[in-house]
Amino acid sequence: MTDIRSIAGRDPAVEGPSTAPAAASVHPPHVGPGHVMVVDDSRMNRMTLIKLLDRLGHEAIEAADGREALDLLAAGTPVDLVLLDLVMPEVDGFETLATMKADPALAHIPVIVVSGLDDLDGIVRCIEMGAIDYLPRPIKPTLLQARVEATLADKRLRDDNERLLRTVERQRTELSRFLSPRVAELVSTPAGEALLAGHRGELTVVFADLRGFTAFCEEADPEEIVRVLREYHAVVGRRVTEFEATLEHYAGDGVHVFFNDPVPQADHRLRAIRMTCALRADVMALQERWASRGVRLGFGVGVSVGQATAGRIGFEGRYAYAVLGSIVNLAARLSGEATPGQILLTNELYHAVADAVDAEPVEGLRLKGISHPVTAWNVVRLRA
Amino acid sequence: MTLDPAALVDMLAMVGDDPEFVGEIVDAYLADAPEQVRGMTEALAMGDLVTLGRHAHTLKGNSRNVGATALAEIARGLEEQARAGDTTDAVARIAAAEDELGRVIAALGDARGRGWRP
Repeated sequence: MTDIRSIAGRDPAVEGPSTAPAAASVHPPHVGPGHVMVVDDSRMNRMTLIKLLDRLGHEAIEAADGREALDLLAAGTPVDLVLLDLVMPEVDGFETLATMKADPALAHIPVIVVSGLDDLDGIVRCIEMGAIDYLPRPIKPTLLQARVEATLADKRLRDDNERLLRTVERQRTELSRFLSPRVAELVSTPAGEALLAGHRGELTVVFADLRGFTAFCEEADPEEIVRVLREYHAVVGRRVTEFEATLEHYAGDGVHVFFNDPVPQADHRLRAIRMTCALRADVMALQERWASRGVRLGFGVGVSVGQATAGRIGFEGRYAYAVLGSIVNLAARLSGEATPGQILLTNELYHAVADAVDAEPVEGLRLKGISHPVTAWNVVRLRA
Repeated sequence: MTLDPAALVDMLAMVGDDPEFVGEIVDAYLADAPEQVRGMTEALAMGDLVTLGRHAHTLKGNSRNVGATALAEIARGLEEQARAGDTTDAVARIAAAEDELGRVIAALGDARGRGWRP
């Protein structure tokens, strides 16, 4: 007969039974316990594997043939790895493997084929069918441990990757709620990478916040503050998405968005004003609700247009897509000057959109960092 | 060889020098092997060579594990024959397997008495 033990690569000088028992070199598991299913019609083989797995700290699940294994898997039994015999009654190893690989819910579970080396054809066929590895009989504990733990570690890595991918996907979905799907899509493309590196262009910048919010926070219950913010953020988030604004900053009651970057928007000036008008109407509706709860908060907006630099700013792990330039400061200062209900445009912006907007001048504004008094324009309404 | 003592020594080493565990494995073998021989006889009678081959395959592997090399060899021959669709001397081969299994059972009883050591 063929001496299967010699084919299996045993080196008596290293691992002979007369020296140290092989099991003595079995280390505690490195990857933590796993759920390992043993599929074999031979009671003797099952028992041997189960006992050895138990010693390695793994939990063994027993199946006497392929049918039983597939039933257990279909019932949702948690399994991290399958040790699969090939020759079995009813449903054999090949059919079990094929069924698993064809089922999206089971295809990711790694399968190690357990077989005598005289069935090399069967082993090769299984590897081609998607088995991850094989274990020769008779089982050698050190080899069993190495294969099982390498496979479990690999599966854990893949599971982690899977989770990471799902998180990224979820965050992208989350992000797209604020960025607009088009922008969220763009930032994960090579073109987006280039945009993140920094570039200059004409932008329309919007700052908005709630008047009296700081005082409100000092007096109100935390629950009420969170409730008000949630209501406010809901309308802001909806309008940011609707008008495809790029969100720069969103903290407490303050919202800072811009237009025409990273996706070009030919109508960025008017688009920004249309968004702020829609938002003003939304917040006015909210104010009625808030007033009935004794909450009084105004809404003020500043809008500017001009050249600015946009790109990724910050440090590893805390990057932001930001805009830099004097027009950003200008919009922030105007927002600070706006009385409740006002949408203040810079002089330059107003003259660019004067055909489409009814606005009243607000003269003699003294803004921090600007030596001369400036004129801003409060948007009364959009012309139809 | 009816019983290669090296196989049982290997098995002892495999399970960390635990004679009781070897006893359990051998018990499982002793429970399964007569069923496999009976299964081969029934399968042959029904002309079911697939089942005959499967029983022979399992008997072969299990016999190798306990060191029953002669029985493993008979089973291997039966498995190959069944796969080839050949039944010429299958009846005689199965009878030989049954005889050999009797000797293996006796030899395993002796080995158990020695704590599975030669």
